[in-house]
Amino acid sequence: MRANIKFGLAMRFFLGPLLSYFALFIFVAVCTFSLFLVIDSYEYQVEARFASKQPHFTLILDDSLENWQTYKHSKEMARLKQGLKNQENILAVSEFIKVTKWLRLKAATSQLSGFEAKQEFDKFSTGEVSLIAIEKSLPGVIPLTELNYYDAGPYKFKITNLEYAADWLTNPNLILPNAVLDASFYAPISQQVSVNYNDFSHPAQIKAFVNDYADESILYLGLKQIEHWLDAKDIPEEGLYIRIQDTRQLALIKNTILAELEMTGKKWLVSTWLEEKSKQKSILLMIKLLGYSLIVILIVMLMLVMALNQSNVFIKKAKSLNILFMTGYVLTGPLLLSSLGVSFLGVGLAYLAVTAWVKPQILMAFNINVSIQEGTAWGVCLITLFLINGLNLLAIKNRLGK
Amino acid sequence: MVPAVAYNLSIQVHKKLMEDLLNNAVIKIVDLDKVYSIGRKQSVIYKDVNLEAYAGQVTLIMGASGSGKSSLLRQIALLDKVTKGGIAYFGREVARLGVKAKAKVRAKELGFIFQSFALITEFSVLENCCLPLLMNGASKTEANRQALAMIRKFIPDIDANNKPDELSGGEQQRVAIIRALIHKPSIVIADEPTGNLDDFNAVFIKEELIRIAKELGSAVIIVSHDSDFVELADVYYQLQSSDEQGVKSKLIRVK
Repeated sequence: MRANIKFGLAMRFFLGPLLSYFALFIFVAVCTFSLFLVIDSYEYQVEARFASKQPHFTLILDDSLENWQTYKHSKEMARLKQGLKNQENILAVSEFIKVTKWLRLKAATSQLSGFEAKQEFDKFSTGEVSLIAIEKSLPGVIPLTELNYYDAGPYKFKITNLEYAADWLTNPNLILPNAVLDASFYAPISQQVSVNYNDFSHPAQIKAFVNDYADESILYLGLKQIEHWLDAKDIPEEGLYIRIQDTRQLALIKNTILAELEMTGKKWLVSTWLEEKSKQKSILLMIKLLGYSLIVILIVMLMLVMALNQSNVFIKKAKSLNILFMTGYVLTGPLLLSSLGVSFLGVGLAYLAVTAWVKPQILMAFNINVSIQEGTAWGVCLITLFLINGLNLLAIKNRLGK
Repeated sequence: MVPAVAYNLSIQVHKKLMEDLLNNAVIKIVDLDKVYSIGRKQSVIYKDVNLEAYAGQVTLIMGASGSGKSSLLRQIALLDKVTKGGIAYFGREVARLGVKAKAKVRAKELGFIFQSFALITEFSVLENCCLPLLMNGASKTEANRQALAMIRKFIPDIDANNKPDELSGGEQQRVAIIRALIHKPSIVIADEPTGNLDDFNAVFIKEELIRIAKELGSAVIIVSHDSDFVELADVYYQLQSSDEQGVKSKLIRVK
């Protein structure tokens, strides 16, 4: 019997179900590709808009403080710094000191005059602040978390995280970091403040930038300032601070750094910016997991819908199919082939729709150039396709292939 | 590894089938069992059924409801699995063929007539009649031509473009007979062919079915409650209650 007659018969009986099969695959594939687009784009945006503006590694010698004190003046240390600086992707290498202290900031500006702040805070905020001291070549930035309600004139903000940067310490050695200078990303709020720390007090200008990604209050200072403040005592963390050009090269640069470190014969703890930002990392992970969960739910739903659809079709067409089966027509092959055909077509069309229509729409509407991990998205779609068609084959064989 | 008992049984079955080749039986059934499994429980409907059907002869199988008539017919028609025993068409064992091979055998050798007429309601009379021809490799034009010729010859009062729903029960069964015989099958299987018809149509169907089948030289196997068939049948079997413990029915040749 000619295959076209069998296909003709299969189409005549199953055109409706095949069309719904096709529509379901388009729907699920569009959702899958779009979800991957969202997940990948979110990750990309975080990298492009934030991580790339604060890209750094910290290297901490896994030894005692005395060893560091000795080591930091050694020739080997100078060689390591030079070796790292010579790497193409490394922007700057500096020694750093990190310490967490209670820092009091007092706002004293015309904008806030007459505004009574909460008693426990001096107008603006107080909080636990990590002080990081770095060399002149590196930018200074002061992010403060957990700032409370800030209401100044026309401004009404519930500020959860602020990143402060300015020459408020009148420190000529400090340079504003990329993120803070990027006015297109964060609109700055200027503020006159005074800094009070123990007996140290100084008037300053603060530029604040709303920064949802910050999970830590960091005050970047010059090494000399911090030594002056802390009297070079009680410094728990010292090491090398490395700024890099492109965070999307993190893994590659990490390998380069590790190779350099291996030559020192010392044990180092190497952390990337993202590894230090556990909250940001967990948000990314959560969004990814949420996206993947949605994909799994969609696929499970599709399978249930397909199973119900199949049962309905076979219940409705059971009599005619049995007659055809008795007369010698085994439609398993044509049905499976047409199911595979329409599901491939559905996935292909969905991919075209997402890449040719959804992506340009996002670019037009939000000015975001989104990307997608095509391999993974295709992998998920194809696994789903084969899984569902496998189940479909079992169902068809069960009904027709006795 | 085939167990010795099963091997001896299959040898015996094979010997009987070979003998059958000499006798020219269209169908020979040897030691056929039908066992239903519901969970762990097994129910034997019939056991060691032996039956022969010859070209141009009408073989009638009668029996009470639930005695296993339709099950036997389904096994003969290769629609149900055979767990024990053998079925041979023209001396060739067919019971253990694969799904596709069985479908090919059914398409070539078998014609079906059922109490419920078993016409595809989505298709016209002409399309229903074309199905066996298309299945046997005829082109659509050729199938249409042959089917129209048969319809005009044997059921000229029925419009070939009508759908089965637009026909009476008698008319539907006549269409079913044309569809069963159009590809000149060696075996015609009829399950209660007059069960849904009034007396007038029943008489007409009996006569037509047997006349056309004999004209084509097909072996006709009829399962029916209708005792009128006894007279028309060349061979008559009955499925009776079995004396054997745990076995529901046994097949006895009456005529």
